[in-house]
Amino acid sequence: MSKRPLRQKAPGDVWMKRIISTYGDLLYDLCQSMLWSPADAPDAYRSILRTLGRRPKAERFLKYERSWILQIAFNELRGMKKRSPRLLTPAEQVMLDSNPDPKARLRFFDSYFHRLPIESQLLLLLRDKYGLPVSEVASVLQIPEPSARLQRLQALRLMESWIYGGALGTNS
Amino acid sequence: MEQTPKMDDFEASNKMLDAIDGILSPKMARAFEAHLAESEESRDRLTRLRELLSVLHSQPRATMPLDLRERPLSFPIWRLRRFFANPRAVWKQLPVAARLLIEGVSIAAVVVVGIKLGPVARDLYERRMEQRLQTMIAAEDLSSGNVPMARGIQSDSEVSDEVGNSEGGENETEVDTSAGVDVDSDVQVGRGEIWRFNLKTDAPALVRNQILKALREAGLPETTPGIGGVEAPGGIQFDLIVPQALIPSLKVTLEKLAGTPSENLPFSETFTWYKNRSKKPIPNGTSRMVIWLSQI
Repeated sequence: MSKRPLRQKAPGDVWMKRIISTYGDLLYDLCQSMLWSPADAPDAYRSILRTLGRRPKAERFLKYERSWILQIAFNELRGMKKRSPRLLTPAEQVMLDSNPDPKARLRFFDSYFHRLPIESQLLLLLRDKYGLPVSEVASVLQIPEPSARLQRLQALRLMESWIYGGALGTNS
Repeated sequence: MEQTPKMDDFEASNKMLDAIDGILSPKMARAFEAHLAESEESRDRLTRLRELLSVLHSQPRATMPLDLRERPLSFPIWRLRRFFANPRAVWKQLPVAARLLIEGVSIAAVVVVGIKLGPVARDLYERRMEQRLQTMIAAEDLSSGNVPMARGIQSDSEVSDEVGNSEGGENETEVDTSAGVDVDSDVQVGRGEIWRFNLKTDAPALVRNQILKALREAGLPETTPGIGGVEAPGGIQFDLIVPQALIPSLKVTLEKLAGTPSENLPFSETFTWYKNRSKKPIPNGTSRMVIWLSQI
């Protein structure tokens, strides 16, 4: 029995309204968290919605809808982040790393978080902030599930080394 | 009884996330717990990992602005606002083809506009300069225009009025200073005299204005007959009655106005003067002054 995606043949406006009402807040928060800029989040959000609206109707999955939407959102955000990344200046980085107290460094969690690769950022946000299962996160990133688990562990190890000064799994 | 497998630090750190997520098998979970009981380092690492995940989980959620929630797909104004807020970032986001097209069209537009506007700018500049020149000329005319050229009181019969001439600066033996004003030992102004000054200049009209200015500054009223001078073939002549006390200072001024002759000229002096006695009566305290501006 071949698996066929369920096709939703709803009129565009109705479908888009449903998507916005269901995933709007998630997408908006994802935009702001990934881009690290409240000013850019609305444009990113609109850009994602427009891209969703332009995709062929045959692609509109009902069963795996959330993964599909997040995948499109991730592609848009990745492009935007590459074009205009928000980076810390060398002085800010030195100031960040010069503080020996892990508690103080933890207050700048965002700064350390945005040092991670963009794929790791998405992975941690989807899994640990929004609570999505690892399998779904892996499908968004289009990687196998074990790879997603390993990437998550590596990202957390990196964050731990930056903030606490040691690394998980190392004899330090 | 099944033995619990031994776990080292490395394996424990690899299983930490699975342990937190609760997806370890019972056997591995027991091994992990046993290892934690023995290894303080692993316990510390677990604490730190939990802390990081807790911070991640408790990150605040962004609230969507109301207008975005109501009109999620309208964006031209936002784009404009965003562009003005950070034009460089918006420019970088445009595709390369679009940027090249915009740049090419902009360069072509600048060139075309420059070619079109060049002559217009030049015209404007020339008009402005002409206007300025006209204003200057008008101002100059205005300053001298309210004093029209006119003859003084004594005019035509001046040659027959003269009793005798004396020329030069130093030898004034014929001068009758008994009732005149002795202002300067070199220039003694007598009663009933005609003082004649001859200036050679290549621009009588300009020198005329300067003489007029000097006469005003000397205190002569504007209504003095002849103060404006009169045009005659070969130059301009001033013929007016002035207080005797003014003659020396006016002489000095006129000598300065005449200037030094250039080497190319056939004559060596641009300023000459003499005085003689007038046959016709001249009011007491005054002398007649005739200034001739001759065109070189």
